[in-house]
Amino acid sequence: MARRLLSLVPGLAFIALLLAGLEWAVDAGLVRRALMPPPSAIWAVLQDLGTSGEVLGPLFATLRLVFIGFALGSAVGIALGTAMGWWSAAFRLLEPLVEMMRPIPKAALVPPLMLFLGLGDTMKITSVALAVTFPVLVNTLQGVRGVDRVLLDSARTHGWGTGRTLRHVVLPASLPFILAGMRTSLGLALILAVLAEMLTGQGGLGFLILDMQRSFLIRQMYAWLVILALVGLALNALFGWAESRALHWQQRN
Amino acid sequence: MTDITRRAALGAAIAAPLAAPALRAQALTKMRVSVIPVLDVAPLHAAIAQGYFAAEGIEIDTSTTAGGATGLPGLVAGQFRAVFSNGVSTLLGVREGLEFRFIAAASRAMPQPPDILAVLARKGGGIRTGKDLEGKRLASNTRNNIVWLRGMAWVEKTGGDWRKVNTIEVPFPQMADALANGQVDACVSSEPFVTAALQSHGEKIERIGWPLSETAPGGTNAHYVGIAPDLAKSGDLFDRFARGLHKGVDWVNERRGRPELIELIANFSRVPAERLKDVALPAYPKEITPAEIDELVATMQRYGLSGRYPTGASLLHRTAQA
Amino acid sequence: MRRVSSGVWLVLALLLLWEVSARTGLVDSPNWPPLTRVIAVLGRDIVSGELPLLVGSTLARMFTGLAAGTVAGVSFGLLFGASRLARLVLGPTVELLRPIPIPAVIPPLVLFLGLDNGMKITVGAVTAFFPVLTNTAQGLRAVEADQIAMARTFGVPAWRRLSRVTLPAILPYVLAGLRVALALTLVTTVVAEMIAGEQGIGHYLVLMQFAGRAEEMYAAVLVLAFLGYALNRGFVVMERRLIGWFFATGREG
Repeated sequence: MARRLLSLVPGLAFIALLLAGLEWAVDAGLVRRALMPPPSAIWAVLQDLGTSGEVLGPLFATLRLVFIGFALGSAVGIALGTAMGWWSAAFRLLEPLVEMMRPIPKAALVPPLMLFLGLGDTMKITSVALAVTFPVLVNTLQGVRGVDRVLLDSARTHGWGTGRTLRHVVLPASLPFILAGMRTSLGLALILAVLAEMLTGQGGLGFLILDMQRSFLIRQMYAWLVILALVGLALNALFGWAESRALHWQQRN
Repeated sequence: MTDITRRAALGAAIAAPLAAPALRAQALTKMRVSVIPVLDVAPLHAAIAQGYFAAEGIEIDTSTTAGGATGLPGLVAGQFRAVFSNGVSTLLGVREGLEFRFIAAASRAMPQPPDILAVLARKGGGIRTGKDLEGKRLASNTRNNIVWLRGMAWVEKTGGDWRKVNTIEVPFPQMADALANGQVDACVSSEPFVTAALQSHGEKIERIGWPLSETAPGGTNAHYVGIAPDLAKSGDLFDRFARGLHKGVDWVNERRGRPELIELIANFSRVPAERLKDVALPAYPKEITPAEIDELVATMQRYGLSGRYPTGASLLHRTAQA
Repeated sequence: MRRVSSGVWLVLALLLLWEVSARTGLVDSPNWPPLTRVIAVLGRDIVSGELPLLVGSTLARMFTGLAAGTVAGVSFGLLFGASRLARLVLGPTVELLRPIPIPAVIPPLVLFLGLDNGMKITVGAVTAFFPVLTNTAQGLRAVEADQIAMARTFGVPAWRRLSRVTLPAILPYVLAGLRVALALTLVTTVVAEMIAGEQGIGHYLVLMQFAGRAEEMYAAVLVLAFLGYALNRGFVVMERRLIGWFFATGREG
């Protein structure tokens, strides 16, 4: 542990050096203050946002969007992927549709979704969930199809039904694939959440970053950007932790 | 530059030569101007199509940005020489130390209705005034721009507290649907979307106010903006730009309500001509007065956009003054 | 026909539902045009050359960004693989920047680079950089042990080792990263076009949404769907050509 912390020192020192360099460059007038305020000014805004609690509303709005969209999209992706991997009839029915929908850059669907679902949460959650679904679905499908036949045969000889086999054999065995898909999707979820907030212009960190830029409140823009970066970092770390827990569980089963 | 605007520009260039006898063999100075496809920029497009800029030795390369994001950041980044922008956004940049200067007027509110902004509400929804909107949702295309500002002023003028109204950003084309479906309780919309909304959803929605002419009759609205160092360096270019633009203003003002103007607007906005027949147009002035900029600043400070602003007079480039 | 029938029927049924719901007024909105009208508009704008021009400009930006991001990603990946010090110093900065959702960096980039190609290509390059970097570093770790060590013992000089041994050996990994980057770069390039400036198919989509021209908007969505599909297909073909040996010798996974 101490070793690990020690290994972080050069990297953090480098970041500190970068920030100090930036601070100096702005002070020396090498960078235009109107475009790139010094890190200390951004830090002051961050402190303000933190102490006034102003940070909480937008932060929760974005997190809520990401969590619900991610959970929904993952659930649909896992369910459909499992069904398609297990029953060939389901595969035949859904495969052309999935292949048609999958390559659409989901960002392109935000404007039509806005027409249909309006500008509220439904629309934003749907965009996030759509982006999440397909990587999870495809990976789940791959995982389910790759399950060892020997395991399946032994489940059958034990007289296990479909539900039990899926839950105790197929899902644990395909878990690494599902998690890999979910990891890809997590990044996409955040991208779509920010984009949807920018295009609908309400709540959330994405909207604020764009809004601050448009109002030329540049320090505030960078402060919200830093907050969003921390959110991304925290979500990744959280997922990494959940992933290792899940894989532990899989190994035990 | 987008292929859409390039095509429009090409079409204009092909159609124009007869109208531009002064077209000389010498190379034209290229000038990149950022615009939004709204009614306010009709004179600029008219001046391009009629060859008024070519006659001044300028080739205007319009860059059309959709939506709320204006071209002002592109001005800062040095990509545009001039930008069409609503007054509020420009002044917010000025407040943060950016050296924006007004080159010419683009549009002004009419002294009385009809005007280009309107407050729309659901029929039978019980919303008639700003007072009724307290605690309700009011859609504006962007926060902190002229539409929002005049909308807030309208709320207060009609007895409401603007702080108690929830502003939601909705793009103009989606406002009618959002209103009809109950996602918002009212919206501040702009032409040609007001007319389009009343045509497509007329049985469900109605107009309840004219925020521009009710709160700031004849008030300033949008402008062409440059950046001070460039204006100082290339003063002559901007003189020629303003001359060409002013001829475009005359062309448009002479053709209010005539099909040529509708056709011009349909071309650059891409809104079908039949939807444009009944739209209200803004006033197209040439000059900006220091007083109207000061009025705008005072209004901004009243509605939460406080801070230190320079005087209106110091923000007007010489081409903007009469 | 082989076993595709039920899925194709489902797709056709959904498309028919689109057409019928729009024609009969089941969904009565100017924002929901019949499919046939969308296809007619699509045909018209392809023939007129407008859509091909837009797509061409989007692709040009996307591939320029992708190329720049790939070169940078491979370079940094090699550097990280070769030097522990580089990894220690620069690693945390990369990890800090990686989870920032790309749409959020567009507003600050606009201030520095404006709304044109420079900004959008940078967005594409940043998008491509991270997956390529990760996969290059991963590939380097995987192949280092055998081939490179062997080449070293045979006394192959460093630069030759790089071009003849290391690069070909890690190519499959780089390509895997590139494949992820390809899909992401298409998304972020289009997103950049949607949020700022006036170029490409992304801007066209939003412009048409704003002009209330639903047919054109859906035509753009269809074009993007096709583009996503074609790029992925094209990439698979290229990958097979380049590294057929990798799959043939069964070294995958």
